[in-house]
Amino acid sequence: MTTISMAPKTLSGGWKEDNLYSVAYDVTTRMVTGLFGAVVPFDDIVHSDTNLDNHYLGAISQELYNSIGESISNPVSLAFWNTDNTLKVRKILVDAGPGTYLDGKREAFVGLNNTVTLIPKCVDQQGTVWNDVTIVQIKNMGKLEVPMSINGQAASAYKGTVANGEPVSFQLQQQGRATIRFKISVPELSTLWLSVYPELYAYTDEALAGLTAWAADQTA
Amino acid sequence: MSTTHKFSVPYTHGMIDALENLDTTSISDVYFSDNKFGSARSIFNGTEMFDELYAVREKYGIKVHYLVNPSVYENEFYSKVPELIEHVKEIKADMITLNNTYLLRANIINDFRVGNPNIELKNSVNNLVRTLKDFVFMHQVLHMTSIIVDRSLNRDLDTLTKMSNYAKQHDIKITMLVNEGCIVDCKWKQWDDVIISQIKFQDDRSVTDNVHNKLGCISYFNQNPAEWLKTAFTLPNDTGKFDGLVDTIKIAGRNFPLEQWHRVIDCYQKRSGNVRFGDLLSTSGDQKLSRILVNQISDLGFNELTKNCKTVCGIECDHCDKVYKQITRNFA
Repeated sequence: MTTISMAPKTLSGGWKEDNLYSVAYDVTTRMVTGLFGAVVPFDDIVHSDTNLDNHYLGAISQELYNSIGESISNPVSLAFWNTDNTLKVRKILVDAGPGTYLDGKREAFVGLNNTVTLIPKCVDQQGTVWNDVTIVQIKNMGKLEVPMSINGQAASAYKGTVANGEPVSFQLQQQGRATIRFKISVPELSTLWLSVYPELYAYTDEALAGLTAWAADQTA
Repeated sequence: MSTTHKFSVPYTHGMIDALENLDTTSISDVYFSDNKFGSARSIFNGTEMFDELYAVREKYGIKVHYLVNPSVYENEFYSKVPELIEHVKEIKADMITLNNTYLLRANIINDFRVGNPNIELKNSVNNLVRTLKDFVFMHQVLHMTSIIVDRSLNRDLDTLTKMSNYAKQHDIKITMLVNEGCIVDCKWKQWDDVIISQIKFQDDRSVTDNVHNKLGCISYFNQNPAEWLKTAFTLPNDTGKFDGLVDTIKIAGRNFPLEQWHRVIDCYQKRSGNVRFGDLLSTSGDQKLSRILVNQISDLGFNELTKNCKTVCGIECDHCDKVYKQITRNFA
């Protein structure tokens, strides 16, 4: 599985099994904006920003600690404190589909015949797909200047949709780099989006022949 | 991976190893200063810096570019000009940035060329070459054939096009500083320049830092977050607007940690928007905006509406304010 993700920042102090934690969240958007821990029980922090509130969590798993930390620092993930007093984490991830590879030097997806297949999906911290998100919106960020066919559509249609967790193909029609956007609206949070911007790269004929030969070797 | 532009990149300690993962063929030069005649004399890396600069030149053919542009010169400076000329020769610089318009008018490049016949000379972005008239003046009066234009030109393609047309007729190269994030025609700038020019290596900066942080742009951006979006910059995924107009893109970031330095140059080379806004600029501001990806900003139509807006913020345009509101509503 290939996941587009920026390296999460390390939270100061790190996770400790016996530490007790509290989250700060924005009362309007419900988004978690801070995570505080201490070795002894502590009073909730009073924020000067009156749009912030706290909720005491107590001991939490390292997995949840990392997920909350990632959501604070990484735009592909968010954690939010629900009105029913539950904490949720949602991420948007992208897997590579068949005939699609990550060019490490270019940090971009490439594909046989310059066709890249990607599988966008909205998941929780365990990687489980959230079925309540049915639609992932797609946009070619370069619009008509960087032509590509999305799922067989004409290149002039630079937007499209795909079902959550289903593959979508991009036939790149111009050599070079392209950026696309996958976007989901978070059902629990009326105005918030989660978006991720994978980069694709269309090879020259010569480089494409090299990729085709390399891919054939992998399956031989 | 190559683009149509060359890149002028800042020196940072350890860069020689990080260059392996960048497109070095598109990097023309690495610029630096020292504590003798350079600007930002509080940053001094000693002989270790020069060793690394020469190694970078040897390995990649990247030119060594010395910044001699303090904005405030002491009166005694003019008696030290022969010393400056000798110093440039001694440090084996390939390029010089000099903002002193007296010395430029005196054609000091001829003196530099005694030591290095191929040395190149640029003016400073702080010479504020903002209009076509400024540009022509730099060429006709100050003899410049490689001109760094004012930061405001990031959002003024009409004037930049006029400069480019003149440049092509007279074989002049244009450089654009793209990620400084300074306020256009900033009212704090002259005082910042005084601080930068006068503070030297190992000076106590606590008082001036306090003044700068509490009464300058940093607190202003924190109190008025959208103002940071109105500063002079071009996002990496928008540099295509300079194709055919600009020869060299200058990247700010002499104070960047190595990882950030690499990420910023890489994104400009790839024209990628997968970099955080706060990592990109050499100024700092609102935390929410800092964490936002450049792609998220450009997704809101930012590039199209600021390409040629001429920074007419306020009554004529409030686009950046709207983008900031959308960012905080949809992402933050």
